[in-house]
Amino acid sequence: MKIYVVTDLEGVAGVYQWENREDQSLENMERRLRQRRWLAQEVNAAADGFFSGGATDVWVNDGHGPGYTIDMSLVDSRLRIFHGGQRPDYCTGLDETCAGLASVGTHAKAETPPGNLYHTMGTSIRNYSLNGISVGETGYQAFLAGHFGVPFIFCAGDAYACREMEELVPGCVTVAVKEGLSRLSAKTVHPLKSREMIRQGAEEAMKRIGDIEPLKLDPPIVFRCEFVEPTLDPDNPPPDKRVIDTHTFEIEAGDMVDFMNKMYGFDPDYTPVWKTYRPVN
Amino acid sequence: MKFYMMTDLEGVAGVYQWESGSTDTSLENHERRCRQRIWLAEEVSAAVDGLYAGGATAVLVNDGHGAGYTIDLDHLDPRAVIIHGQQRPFWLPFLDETCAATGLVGAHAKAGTEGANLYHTMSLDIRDWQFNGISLGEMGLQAAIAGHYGVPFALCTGDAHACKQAEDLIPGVVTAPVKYGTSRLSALSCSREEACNRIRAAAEQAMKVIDDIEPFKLQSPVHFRDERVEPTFDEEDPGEFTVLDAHTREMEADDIIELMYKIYSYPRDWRPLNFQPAWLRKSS
Ligand SMILES: [Zn+2]
Ligand SMILES: [Zn+2]
Repeated sequence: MKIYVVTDLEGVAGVYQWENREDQSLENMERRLRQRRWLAQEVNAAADGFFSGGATDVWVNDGHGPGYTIDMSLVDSRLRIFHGGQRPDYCTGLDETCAGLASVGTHAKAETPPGNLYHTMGTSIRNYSLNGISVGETGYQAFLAGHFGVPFIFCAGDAYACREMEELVPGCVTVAVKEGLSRLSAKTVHPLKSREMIRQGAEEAMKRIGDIEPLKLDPPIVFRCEFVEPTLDPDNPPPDKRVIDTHTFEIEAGDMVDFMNKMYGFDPDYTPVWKTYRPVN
Repeated sequence: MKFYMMTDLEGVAGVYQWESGSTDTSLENHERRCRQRIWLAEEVSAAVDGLYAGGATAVLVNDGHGAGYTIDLDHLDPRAVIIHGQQRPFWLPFLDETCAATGLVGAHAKAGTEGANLYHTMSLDIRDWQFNGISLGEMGLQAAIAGHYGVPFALCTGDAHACKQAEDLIPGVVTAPVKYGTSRLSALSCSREEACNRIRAAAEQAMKVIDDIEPFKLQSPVHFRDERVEPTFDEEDPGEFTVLDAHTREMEADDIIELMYKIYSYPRDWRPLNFQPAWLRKSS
């Protein structure tokens, strides 16, 4: 039973503001290091709950920013971590061998005031939808998991994100470690408490795996992206994209993987090395 | 029994000067700020511990100083639930009739309190704030907001000048002076250990006297007078205020909550989400 966890930073207890990767002040550095530790500790708590609930493997996708936010020094030794940039696909390792998809540090999707730090991908995006269903980052991942028959089982983060995922995936277990009061403020439990809640919720989520339907879409898939500002030139549509107007483009695809390949230009023939190579000894 | 705790930095034992956040980027200042955030967390934790010992079952902590992110969470009692960040929907969100009592840790005296350490009201440009003719600092304003909901102000820890102001305003309030302001930039401070001991004891005591403290309620309508140190207001452009002169403006509102909405233009449609995850909902 392998659980695949995608992580973000904005929904971690104790974090309330955007991570500033330019500010080189000591204060900012100290804060970032601390928040990376809190993220790692929430990830560990979730993994611990999954293992107690019967998971045999937990693979973690370090999903925030440049993909290197989880403090590796603190990561539970049972975990494997995907990190880094220029990745070969959207959720490397998320496939039919996984028993469930989970999300830690989750924020609500774009246009969800007063969710804390709500956004979808970047603050320039107003909405993402798949076949007319509005999705945030986590919903988007849940549909990708659904393509492989993998249910979305667990969400920890802002209460607005938890509500969003419960509406999208009935039966999933959510843990609201904070509640946004505005985009830049929150009521939060203490980081020690959030770990306790996450551990419990993750263990509970393992019991629900068989009861949660994987999210499926009928082909063809129509993905729609709306920008806040005029961004697109209708006369020069990017490859594989249909420009509707200066704010909106669509992608039509056969399935979620085909969509991701078109959206990000991934190589459809990519095969992870762990699928083909085993050391001889 | 939920206790609503406001916090500030200026009244913490060991702190004597203004926090310089953005202007002073020196290592020395950084180190000092880190240390003071820990001290604040320790004092808040001492209060949380005392409140629980006195019968509290929940403590909501408002990280109220400066940018709203001053308490070092790694040094905070994990039983606390924290409100932090900017652009908040209200000054004291979640302070309402569901709270058993409220209090303030790290309190400084109000503007104009000569001899007090780091005295001010909200910001340094305010000379005095009056409500129905009563001069109130941040502590008094908090007490009035709590009083609106029938919640007593039961605990004040910080500069002795602030503690005295609390006692003058609210008979029966429990105070813990952790320093004695000797000028705006100097103080005789308790040791860190004594400060925390005093705070813990006062917090426990405060829980025991809640029922004996009258909530501090302002009569309706509430008349607000805002006096500034520098010429600030434009008689031609008074907004919702009555501008008396460049230093002074006034406003009237039905109650203190309405007044706060008018002063700060808070979003009127904000409500707590009250989200309860489905798996934790009691099946009916
Ligand atoms: Zn992020
Ligand atoms: Zn302050």
